[in-house]
Amino acid sequence: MSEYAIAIEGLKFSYSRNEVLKGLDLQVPRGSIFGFLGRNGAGKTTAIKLMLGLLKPNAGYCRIQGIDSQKDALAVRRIVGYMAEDQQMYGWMRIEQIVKWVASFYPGWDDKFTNQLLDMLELPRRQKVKTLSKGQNSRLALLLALGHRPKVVILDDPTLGLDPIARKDFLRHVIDLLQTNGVTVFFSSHLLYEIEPVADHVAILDGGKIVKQGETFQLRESVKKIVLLASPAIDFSKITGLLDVARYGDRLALTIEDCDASKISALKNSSDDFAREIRLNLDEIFEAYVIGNRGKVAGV
Amino acid sequence: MIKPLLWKEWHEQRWKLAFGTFMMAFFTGALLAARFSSYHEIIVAVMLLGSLVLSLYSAMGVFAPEITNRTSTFLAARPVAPWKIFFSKWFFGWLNFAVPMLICSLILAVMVLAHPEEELFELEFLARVLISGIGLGTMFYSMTCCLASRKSSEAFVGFIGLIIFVVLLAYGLIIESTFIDSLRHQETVCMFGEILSFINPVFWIHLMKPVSNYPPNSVFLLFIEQGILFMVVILVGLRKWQRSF
Repeated sequence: MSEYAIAIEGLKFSYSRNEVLKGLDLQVPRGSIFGFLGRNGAGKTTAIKLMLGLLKPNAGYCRIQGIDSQKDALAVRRIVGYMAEDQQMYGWMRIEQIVKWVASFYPGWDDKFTNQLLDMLELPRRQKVKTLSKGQNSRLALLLALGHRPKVVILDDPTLGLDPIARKDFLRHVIDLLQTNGVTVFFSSHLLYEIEPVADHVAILDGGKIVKQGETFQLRESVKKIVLLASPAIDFSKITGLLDVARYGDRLALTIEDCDASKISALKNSSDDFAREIRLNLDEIFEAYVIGNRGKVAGV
Repeated sequence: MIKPLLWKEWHEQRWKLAFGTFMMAFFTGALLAARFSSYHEIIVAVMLLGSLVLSLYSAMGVFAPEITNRTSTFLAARPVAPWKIFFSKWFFGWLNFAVPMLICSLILAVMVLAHPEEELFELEFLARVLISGIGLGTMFYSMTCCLASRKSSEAFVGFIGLIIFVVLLAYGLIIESTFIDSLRHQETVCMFGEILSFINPVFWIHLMKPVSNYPPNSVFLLFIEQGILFMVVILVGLRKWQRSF
C-alpha cells in the first residue's frame, strides 16, 4: 500500500482554452494535516474536484488511498469526507433530515458518532438548514463530511465567509476531531495564518503547478530573508533559489529558498555590510513564492 | 442508493406537480364548461398545452436550481453514480407534466363512461391524444433540460426551450411542404420522407389523427426514431450535466 494518502502526478486540466493545472504533482503523507495553499483562482478547487473524480483531467492521475479517482470515483468518494468552499446544502431540510439523507449514501455511516458530533457542534436537530448561521452551516458541513469516518478529509477553504471568531471556533473543532484520529486532512486555503498552526505539511500552488512542497517546519527553516547593503558586486543571477528582492533605502532584502550556510557565506563575501538573516512566517514564504520578483525587477 | 435521491426530488418537486395538475384540470374544466369548441378540439388543445407549456415549465426547474443554489457539487460529491442523480432529476421533472396529463385524461375518461348516451368522444381518441401528447412532451422536455443542463438560469433554460420548439416547428413545416405534393396526390410518402419526418418530435401530433398517406408501419418507425433520438438526447444531457460540477 502506498505511503501516501493522496498521490497526484502530472495532472493537467483546462476549462476550454484556460489551462488551470499544468502538470500538478503532489504527495500527501498518510495521517498528515496538509495545507494546500494558493491564491484565489490558482486552481485549488479544480484540483480537489479532480481528486474526487468530479472532473476528468486532460492528463495525469490522482490516487486516494491507492484508488484511482478516475477509474473508481465512487470508491474514492466513499472513503473521503469532503467539505466544499462555502458549502451550500438543501435549505428546506431539517438538520436531522439532511444527516439521515447523507447517511443513506454511506454503508459505513456511524450514527453514534454523528449524534455525538451534533451535540459537540451544538447543532439543533429540528432546525431547518436555511435558518442556520454561516458558522452553524460550516459546522454542519463538517459533520456531514465526517459522519462516515473517512480516512481522508478534504476541506476546501472551509472557513470562507466566516467571521474571525467563527473561523477560530471551526478550526478548534477540526483540530479536536481530526488531529488525534490518524485521519489525513487535506486543507485548502488562501488564509495562511489559518493553516500555519495546524498543518504539518504544506504545498504552494501557483501558475497551475506546485512551486513548493514540504514539511511546514522545514519550509520555515529553509526559506530566509537576508538583509544586506546594496552593492554592485551582487549578481542576482548567480544566487540560486532567489525568490524575491526588495529594496529599503540602501539596503536589500533577499528572500532565498534552501538558504544554507554556503549561500549565506557567499552573500557575505559579496556585500560589505551583511546585516542579518530573518526567519519568515508561512505568510511571507507564500508571498515570496507567489509574487516574488526573483530579482528581475528594474531598479533593484 | 437511488431511493434517497428520489425522496429528495419528490420533496422538491411535489408542489410543482400539484400546481401542474391543478392548472391542467382547471383549464380542461373551464374549456369544457365554456363549450367554446368541440370536445375533440378542446382535448387536443389541453394535451398540447400540457405537452408544450407544462413540459417547458418542468424543464426549467430540473437542473438550473441545483446549479444556481450551488448544491450540485454537494450532491455530486456523494458516492452515487452520476446517471442515478441525473435520472432521478429527469424522472421527477417528467412526472411534473406527465401526471397532470394523465389525471386530466382519467377525468375525461370518467366523463365519457359516466354519460355513455351523450357520445362525447371516443376513448380510443383520448388514448391516442394522450400518448402523442406525452410523447411530444417527453421529447420536448428532454431536449430542453438536457441541452440546457449546464445553465444556471431557469429563464435561460426556458429561452433555449423556445428556440428548440421554433427549430422543430420550422423543420416540421419544411418537411411537410416537401412532401405535401405526395399527400395532395394521394400518393404514399417515400421511405426517405418518412425517416426525415419522424425524427422530428413534432410528428407525434400525427398520432392524434394519423395521416392516411403515411404507410401503416409509420407509427412503428416514429417510435423507433424517437427512441433513438431520446437516447442520444439523454446521453448528451448526462455528459453536459457532469461537466457542470
